[in-house]
Amino acid sequence: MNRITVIALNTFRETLRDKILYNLVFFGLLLISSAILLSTLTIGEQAKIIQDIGLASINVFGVIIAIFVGIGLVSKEIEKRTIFTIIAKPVPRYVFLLGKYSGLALTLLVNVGIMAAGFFLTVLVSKAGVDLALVKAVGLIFMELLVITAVAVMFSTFTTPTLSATFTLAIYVIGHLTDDLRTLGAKLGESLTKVILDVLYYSLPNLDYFNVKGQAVHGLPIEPSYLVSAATYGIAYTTILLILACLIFQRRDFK
Amino acid sequence: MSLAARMSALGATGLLLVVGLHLLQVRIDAQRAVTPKLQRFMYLPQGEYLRGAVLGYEQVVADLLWIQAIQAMGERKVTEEAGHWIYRALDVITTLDPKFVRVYEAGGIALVTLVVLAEESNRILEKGMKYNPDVWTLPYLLGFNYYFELHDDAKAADYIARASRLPGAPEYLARLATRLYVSAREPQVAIDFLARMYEQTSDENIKHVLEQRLKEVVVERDLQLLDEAISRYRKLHKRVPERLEDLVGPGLLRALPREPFGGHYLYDPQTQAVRSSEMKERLQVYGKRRAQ
Repeated sequence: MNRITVIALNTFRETLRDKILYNLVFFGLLLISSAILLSTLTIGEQAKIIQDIGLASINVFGVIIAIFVGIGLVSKEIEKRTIFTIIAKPVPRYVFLLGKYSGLALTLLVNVGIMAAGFFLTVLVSKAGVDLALVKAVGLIFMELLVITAVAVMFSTFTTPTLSATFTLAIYVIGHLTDDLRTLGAKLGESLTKVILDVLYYSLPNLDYFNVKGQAVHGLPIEPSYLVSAATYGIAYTTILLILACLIFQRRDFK
Repeated sequence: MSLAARMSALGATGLLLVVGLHLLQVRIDAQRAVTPKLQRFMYLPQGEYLRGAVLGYEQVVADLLWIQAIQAMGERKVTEEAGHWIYRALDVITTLDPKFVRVYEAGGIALVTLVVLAEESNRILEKGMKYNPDVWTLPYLLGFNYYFELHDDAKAADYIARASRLPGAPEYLARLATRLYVSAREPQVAIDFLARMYEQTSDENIKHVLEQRLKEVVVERDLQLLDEAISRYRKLHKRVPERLEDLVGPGLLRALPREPFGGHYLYDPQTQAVRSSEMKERLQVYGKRRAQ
């Protein structure tokens, strides 16, 4: 356990050295400028639009970091040959992988935390009042990021960074469209295609579960029971992906 | 050529290209300006498809489209064709974000004031009511459309009554509905209706539009008043009045009405027609029905 923490903290420091936090500057600029520009462009509803932009930016920035840092976590170590110094020590490969994952998760947590704080501040300044629903929405966005990071790490254990990025991006897109897979299957009736579509639906992550941005902004109720089930789904899916990643990584041959 | 000379030649070429690029951009912008900005909405995909394509960012995309749509609505003159594009954009926006109440409200009003597309306005408002059954302004505006544009007082009263039962509805709505149920189309009812609506709106753009309409209705009420006075004058004096001022007197008018746009009322003794100096034609609402 302790070894995972050490690797995690090291990964966290490494991402900070990679100037990952610069995205916060862009996030801040985006929020401030949109807040100023909107007051001249729209008639009313500025509060809603600022909240929409804030939540969407937290989501987009998070996804970009999760994918593009996630795919490099393992491959960079292999490329720089630094992985040998760790593998040579009595550190099982799964500990290394979990440590790397936790480190990026920590980076994301800090990042999303700072963005959320800035976002809530902007909402407060725009006199809309921070609703608990917004906190819930940010929480589920973080859950989505954990799943995407796991996908990225899983792919990076067996393929090149470019391909991992492509695959993870594809999973992100498909993850938001899986509902359509099921609708399509339901329309086909009993057939092999329906079975295939159903298998796909249940095996791909349904990332739309983590999307309550609309409800949060419109002040619609988000049931705590829903939050619990969505979060449980996210944790379970992440765990499965990480187990898969560990199994693959264990068999990987380093050249 | 020395390296330094080559580098400065390269720099100069780069600079030339930058200037050329800028000029080209200005030219392309001018070319594109030929087709109105609004036409962009024509290429919007159906809301249902766009909903899938935006990967959970429906709200932000709806906001961006909404900002574009308002700019289009703010253009000086909105043609009927442009009205159809605006309707399409509003339909897509509300499919992306069905709880975006402001879009239904402003769109519903704009589609009968900037252009006259009562059917489209009704469709937007009905869609809004479907997804936001608790918002009183939507049935209220529908009632407005039925009263002013479609001249269906009974339906108008139905919708106003429906609005009056929803949370947050001002208490006068019930009375207004009652009046509508019994009243024929009288300008004074319309003026009351618009004045209340004006008070209820916080949006400056919409307020401005309502104010215009209110004045038009006042003009129409005054013209009806003058018409009546002219016919009474003819009965009393067995001749036509020569000037509008002749209408002030016992049994006729106490004073001439003031033109709300700041102009004055014109009278033609030949035809005994009165009109406002500020309005080209009389408000059609009370004459024949608007073509649908």
